[in-house]
Amino acid sequence: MIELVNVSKSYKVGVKAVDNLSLAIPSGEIVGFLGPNGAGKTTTIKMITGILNPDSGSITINGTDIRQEPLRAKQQFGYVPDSPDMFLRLKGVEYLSFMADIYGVPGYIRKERSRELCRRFEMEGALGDAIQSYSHGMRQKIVLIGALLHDPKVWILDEPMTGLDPRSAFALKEMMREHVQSGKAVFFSTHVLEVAEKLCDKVAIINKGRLQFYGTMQDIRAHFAENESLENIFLEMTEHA
Amino acid sequence: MRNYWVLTKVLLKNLNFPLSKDILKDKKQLRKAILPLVLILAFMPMMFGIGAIVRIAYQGLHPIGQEGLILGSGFSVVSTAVFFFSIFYVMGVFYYSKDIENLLPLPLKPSEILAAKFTVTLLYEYATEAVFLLPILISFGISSSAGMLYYLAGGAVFLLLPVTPLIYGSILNMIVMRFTNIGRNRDRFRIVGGIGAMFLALGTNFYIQRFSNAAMTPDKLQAMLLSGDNSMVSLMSGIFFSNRFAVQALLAGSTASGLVYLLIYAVITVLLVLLFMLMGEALYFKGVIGISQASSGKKKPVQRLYEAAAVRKPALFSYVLKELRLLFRTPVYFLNCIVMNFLWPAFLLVPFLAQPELQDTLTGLGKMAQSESGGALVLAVAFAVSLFVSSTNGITASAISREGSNLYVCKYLPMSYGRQLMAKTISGILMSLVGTLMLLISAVWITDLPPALLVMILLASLTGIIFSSLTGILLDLRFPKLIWDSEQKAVKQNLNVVLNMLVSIGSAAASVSGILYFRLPLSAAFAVVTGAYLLMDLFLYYLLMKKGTRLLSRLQG
Ligand SMILES: Nc1ncnc2c1ncn2[C@@H]1O[C@H](COP(=O)(O)OP(=O)(O)OP(=O)(O)O)[C@@H](O)[C@H]1O
Ligand SMILES: [Mg+2]
Repeated sequence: MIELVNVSKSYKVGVKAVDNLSLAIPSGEIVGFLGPNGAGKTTTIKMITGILNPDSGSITINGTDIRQEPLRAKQQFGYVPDSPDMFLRLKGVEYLSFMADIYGVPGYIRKERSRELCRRFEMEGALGDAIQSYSHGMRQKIVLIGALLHDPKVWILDEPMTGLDPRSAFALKEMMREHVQSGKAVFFSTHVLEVAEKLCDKVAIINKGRLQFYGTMQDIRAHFAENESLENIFLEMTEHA
Repeated sequence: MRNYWVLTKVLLKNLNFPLSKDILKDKKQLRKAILPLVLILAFMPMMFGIGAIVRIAYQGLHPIGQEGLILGSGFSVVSTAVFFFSIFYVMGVFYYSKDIENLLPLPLKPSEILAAKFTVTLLYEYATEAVFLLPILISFGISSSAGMLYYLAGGAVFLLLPVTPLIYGSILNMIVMRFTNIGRNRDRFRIVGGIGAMFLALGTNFYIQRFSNAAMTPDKLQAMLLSGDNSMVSLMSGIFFSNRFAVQALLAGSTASGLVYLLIYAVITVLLVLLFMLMGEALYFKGVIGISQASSGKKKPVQRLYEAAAVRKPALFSYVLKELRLLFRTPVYFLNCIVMNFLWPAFLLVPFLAQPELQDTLTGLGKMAQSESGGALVLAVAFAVSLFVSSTNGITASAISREGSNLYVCKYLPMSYGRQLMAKTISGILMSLVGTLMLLISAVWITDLPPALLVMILLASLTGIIFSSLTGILLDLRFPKLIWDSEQKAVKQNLNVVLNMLVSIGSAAASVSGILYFRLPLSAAFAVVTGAYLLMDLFLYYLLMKKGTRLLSRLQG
C-alpha cells in the first residue's frame, strides 16, 4: 500500500513538476500510471522511492514514511528505474548477488528465487556475462530480477514494458497478477494504454503534474461515454488540461 | 578533401581543444586553456633538464666531431616515445571513440575519416613532442651557435618527425584490429595496454636516469653512445630510418645539401602517408565494424552461477566488493586509482636501481634508523610518503563523482547513507593500504629497517591513510562532478582529487616539519603523529556521518 498526501515538487521555481498530488495505491491491486511525456510520472515515482525529496506533502509505504524511516520504507518495495543502465561492469550474477546482500535475502531463498525469475525471463544464458554486453531489454530484465529478489510487498516500476519482448512482457504481466493475488501492490507507469486497460485494476492519469483521474476502468466508462476506448478518453483528458 | 576539412574541424570541436579564436572572450574557454598552461609549467623543469643534458653532451662530443649522435639518438628516443603514445591515442581515437558509430553510416571514405582522425592525433603528438624535442633542438642550436636556417629546418623537422612513428602506430593498430580478436574485449585491451605504457614509462625513467648520470661525465657518455650499450638506440634508428636525413639536414648548416636532405626527408614522409591511406582503405572499416559485437567468454554452468549468488555476505562487505569490482574493471579507474598504488614503490625504487652509488646512502639510512632521532626522521618521511600516495589514487576523492548519473541508485537502496559512504571510504583505505604495504616491502628489500620501526610506520600510516580518505570523500561530497560523458572526466579531470592531494601534502609537510622542529625522538614522534591523526580521523568520521550524509541526501542524481 502506497499513500501520497498533497505531494508537490518543482525543479524550477514556479513550475510544478508534481502539483498537490494525493493518491492511494491499495494492497491487492495493480495500478497503472498514465500521462503524456513530461507529465510528472517519473518525478512522482522518484519521490516515492526516496530518490527525490518532495517540497511538501507526505509519502508512506505500508504505513512507513519514506522521509522518517527511509530504510524500513525502502525495504518494503522493489523498484525498477526507467533507464536500466547501471552497474554495467558487473556480471549479471554479481549484480543479483549484490542486491540480495543489500536487501538481506537469506541464502536458500535467493537461490530459489533467482532461478525462478531467471527462468521466467529467460535470462539464464546471460547471467555469467557483464551487464554491459546486454541489450536494452536484457538490462531491463536483470534490473527487474534484482528488484524482485527480496520478494517486496510493493512493486514500483517505471515503464517496465519498454524494450521487453512479447514473451518477457507476458511473463511480467503474469507475475504482476500473481503478486497482487497474494495481497500485495503494484504501481507502474506506462505509455501502452492497451496494457493498462487489460491489466490494471485502477489507472491514475496525470497531466502537467496534476492528477486528472483516478479510478477503475468502470469508473472511467461511467464518467465518459460508454464503450469509448481508453485511448480516446486519454486523448480527450490530456488535451483539455 | 572538403570532407576531410569539415570532419577535422568537427572532431577538434568535440575534443574541446582550446584552439578556437574566441578563447579570450569566453570565460569557460579560458578556464579550459589554463590547464594546458599549468601542465607546461609543470614540464618546464624537465625541459630545462633535457636542454642541460644536450648542452653538456655537446661539449663532450663536439671536439671529436660526433655531435650528430645527440640529434640522432634524441630523434630516435622521441620517435619511439611518439610511437608508443600513438598506439594508445590511435586506439582511442580511431577505434573506441564514441563518434565512430555516428560516422560509419555517413557517406565518407575510410581514408577521409582516417585522415581527419590522424590529424587530430597528430596535434596531440605535437604536444608530447614539444616537451621532449623542443629542448633538444633549441639547446643544440644554441650550443652550435647555429644560424637562421638551422631553426627553419628545425621547425620543419619538428612538424614532420612525429608523422612517421604515428603512421607506424596506426598501421600496427589497423592490422591488430583487423586480423585479431583482441579489440573485441575492449576493457581488457585497454588495461593491458595501459599497464604496458606504465612499464614503458618506468623503463624510460630508468634509461633517462642512467643517461643523465653518464652525461655528467663526457667520457662516460662517449663510451656509452659509441659502445654496444646503445643497441636499443641503433635498433630504433634502424626502424625510424628516415630520421638520419633529418639529422643531416640540421647538421648541414647553411649549405644547399641541407635543403636536399630535408626534401628527401619530406618525400619519404609523404610516401608513408600515402601508404597509410591505401592500407586504411583496405583495413580500417573492417576492423571498426568487428568491435561493436560483444563477445562472451567461456560459459560457466548456470547451476554454478546460482550457487555463487546464493552465498550470503554482509551488506557492507558486498558494497565494498562492488566498489572494488567497478574500480578494477573500468579501465580508466583501474589505471588511475588501482595501478597507481602498485606503481609508486616502483617509481621510488628506480633511482636507486639506476644509480648503484645511491645504495651506499641506503645502507647509511638503515644504520641511521637504528638511532632514536634518525628513526623519527624515517618514520616522518615514510608517514608523509604514504599519506601522499594514498591521496594520489583519488579513490575516495572521486567516489561520488564516479557514480555520475547513476547516483540515484544510492538513494533507493535500503542501506543508510552513512554506511554507503563508509563502504566507499573503506574501498579507498584498503587500496591505499596496499600502496603503503608495497612501499614498506620495497623499503625492506633495499635497506634494513628495524621491525619495531616498520610496525610503527604501518600504524602511523594507517591513521594518515584514513585521514586522506576521509578528507577525499568529504571534498567529493561537497563538490561532486556528476555530469560527465566519459569516465575519464570523473577521475582525471576531477578537481577534488587534486585538492585532496594538496590537503594531504600540506598536512604531511606540517607533520614532518613538526617532528623535525621539536626534535622528537622516535617513540614520542610515533605517539604524537598517531594520536593527532587518530583524533582528526574521529572528527572527520563524525563530520562524514553528520554533514556528509546530509550532503548526499541533498544531491539530486
Ligand atoms: N532533473 C530534472 N531537472 C529539471 N527538470 C526536470 C528534471 N526531471 C524532470 N524534469 C521536469 O519535470 C517534469 C516531469 O518530468 P517527468 O520525468 O516526471 O515526466 P514523465 O511523466 O516521467 O515523462 P515520460 O513519459 O517522458 O517519462 C518535466 O517537465 C521535466 O521537464
Ligand atoms: Mg518518465
